[in-house]
Amino acid sequence: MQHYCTIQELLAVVPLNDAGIAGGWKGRSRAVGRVLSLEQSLAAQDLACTVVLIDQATDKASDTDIEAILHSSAAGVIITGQSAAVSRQWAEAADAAETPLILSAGGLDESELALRLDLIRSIKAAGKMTDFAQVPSGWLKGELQVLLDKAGAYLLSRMVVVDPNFRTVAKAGFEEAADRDSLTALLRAVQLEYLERSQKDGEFCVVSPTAGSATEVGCNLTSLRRDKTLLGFLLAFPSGAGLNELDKGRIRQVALLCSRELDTRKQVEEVEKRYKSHFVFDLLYNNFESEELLIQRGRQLGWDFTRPQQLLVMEPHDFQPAHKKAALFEQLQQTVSRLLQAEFRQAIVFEQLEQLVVIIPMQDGEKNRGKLWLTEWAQSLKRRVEDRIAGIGLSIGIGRTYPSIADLSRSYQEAKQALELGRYLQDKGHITHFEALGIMHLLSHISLETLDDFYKECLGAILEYDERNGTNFLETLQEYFQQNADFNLTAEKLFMHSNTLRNRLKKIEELLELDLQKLENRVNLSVACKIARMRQTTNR
Amino acid sequence: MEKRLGFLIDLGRCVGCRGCEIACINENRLQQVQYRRVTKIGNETSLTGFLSLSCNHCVNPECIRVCKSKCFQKRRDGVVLQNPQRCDGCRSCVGACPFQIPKLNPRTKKAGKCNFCADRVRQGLEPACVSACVVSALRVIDLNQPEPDWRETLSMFPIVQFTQPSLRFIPPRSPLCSWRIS
Repeated sequence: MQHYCTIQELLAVVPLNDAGIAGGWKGRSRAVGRVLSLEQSLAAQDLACTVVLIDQATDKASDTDIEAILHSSAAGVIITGQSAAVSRQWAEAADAAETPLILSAGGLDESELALRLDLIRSIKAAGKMTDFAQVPSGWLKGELQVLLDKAGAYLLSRMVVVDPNFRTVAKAGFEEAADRDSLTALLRAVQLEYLERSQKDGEFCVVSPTAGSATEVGCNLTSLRRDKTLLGFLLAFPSGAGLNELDKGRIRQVALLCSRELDTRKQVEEVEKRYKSHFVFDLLYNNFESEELLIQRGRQLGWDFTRPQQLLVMEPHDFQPAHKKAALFEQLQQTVSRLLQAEFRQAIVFEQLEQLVVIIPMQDGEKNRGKLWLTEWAQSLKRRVEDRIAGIGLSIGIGRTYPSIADLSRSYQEAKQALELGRYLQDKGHITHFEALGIMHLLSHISLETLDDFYKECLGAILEYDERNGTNFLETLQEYFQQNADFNLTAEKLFMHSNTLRNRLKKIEELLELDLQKLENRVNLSVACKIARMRQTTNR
Repeated sequence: MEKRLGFLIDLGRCVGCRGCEIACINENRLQQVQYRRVTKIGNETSLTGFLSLSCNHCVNPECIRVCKSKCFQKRRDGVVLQNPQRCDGCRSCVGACPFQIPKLNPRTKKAGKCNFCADRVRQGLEPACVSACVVSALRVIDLNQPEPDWRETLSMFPIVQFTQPSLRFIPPRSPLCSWRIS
């Protein structure tokens, strides 16, 4: 059996697990073999492997005595008593000597401490040290930041809690400005290493760029989970000697506490989100009695609705697999929110019926932010989002801008209609303003039977001819109208020579017995082509 | 999950008794205007059934979009309500609705439509038309819990995905003829 344990091991079990560390914690690995009182220690010649127990109520220790003990070969000093306290001078002496100075509020005598030593030695011999180690009760009640500060001081490490995307939630030990600047790069390095290691917890080294050079930094990564949901990661960056088994056990315990704290925060956020979500639903569907009430409720949530708002609706398409839809929308919402934070003081981004609703305020002096500006801005936003989220394609519908917030419900319906009908005007990934819909808006009010009758009446001859001869005259005509009757553009889109196109259009005129140059014929055929495209898209 | 209310019409059960029409007229004390109407499906020579139609409480209501007086609102349970006190009789909603549901009351000169018998539903009752249907052809359903035999559209409807009516159909079934030798 081992005859020694370390100060750290002594403080890992009851009753000293709740003891405070006043200083000198760097010497926590010093071996402890016996316990002496203050009087005995002052008389002893050699204090190696000795922990000195001082009862503040009965022992009168002078500054000189304490400093002498701290600078000797003693393993550590434990001060007990209800009002156990140390002066700053003692704490500094302990740090300088790297001799742990411990404060224990509970009464403890030498014999009891000696029994504890024997117990710890037995536990250690059985290899069960980490099983018996207990987190101080003071750590159980604290907030995340307080927990991290205490853990960092105990483990002599810088600590960071990050979310699943490696963004900082809380940190300890990064008070220096240089540390804060390099934290982002350090986290990025850790994230890459984690991904390369097939997303497994553990210890590894990363290269951290500091001012002018790069240094290797050790990192202990523990994932924080609640059931199977990943809440984030706990990262410990030890300084000096690194982490022993007891430290790793303590990290696991701290990780459980951090998981609980993150889970609580997540639940609070979800309640807040649900409340906001209900408000946004009421805003989008005109469920307020008056505009004043709406503005007042918005103010309570930190939103200013006294300015006109502009609204667009985004919908992702072709995302696979379908069961990851919820995660995709979460990611999409976060990405768009982050992008808009940099541009607008207030941007509301919410998921509604599998579409993302974006509401942005008009700024002062922006009276000319009309249809064109909005469409270009939406284009830029779409590009930035698609760059950040791999494999996603977005379509966007934009509603009209109204001066009053009470009309936002109308803008919302317009944006949704633009989104739905826009795909009949352009391909997937379209951006359509409500005012650009034109005749599509009228067609949406007509029954399917009537629409079918009309387009078959107008284009019947071509449809028959295409079916009999395997040609694509309908497609040619549709493209011709799509390109505003521009011969060259149409020919380019259809990958044919303009003379070939001319001949085809001539054939189409023969089949339909119409002159394509007459405006009325063009209007009818253009509408019929739109309907044909609409029906083809609907039936797909 | 919160309910999303809608109507289910079983086209195989409806016998065209118009009980739902009468119940609606009684409940809303209507004169010269109807909120629910039963129409025949098919033609003179081949009648295939009856369709009882009132407000479809759409997901994307055109009435909300066009009403400048903001008479319409959609509750979280999906019901689209109309507040006649705000109505100025402009008739924008009458023309905008692809199902021609809002009706202008010739006496009050205001538009009106089915409100899903909001008062009755608040008391735990079914809408008057549903209660009156003796063959259970008309039912209230929760669209968040769909059944496999529900259909979303009929050919006589406009392209429904634009307004997304909260309406489902059970198509008519072929009757069983046990006396025929197959």
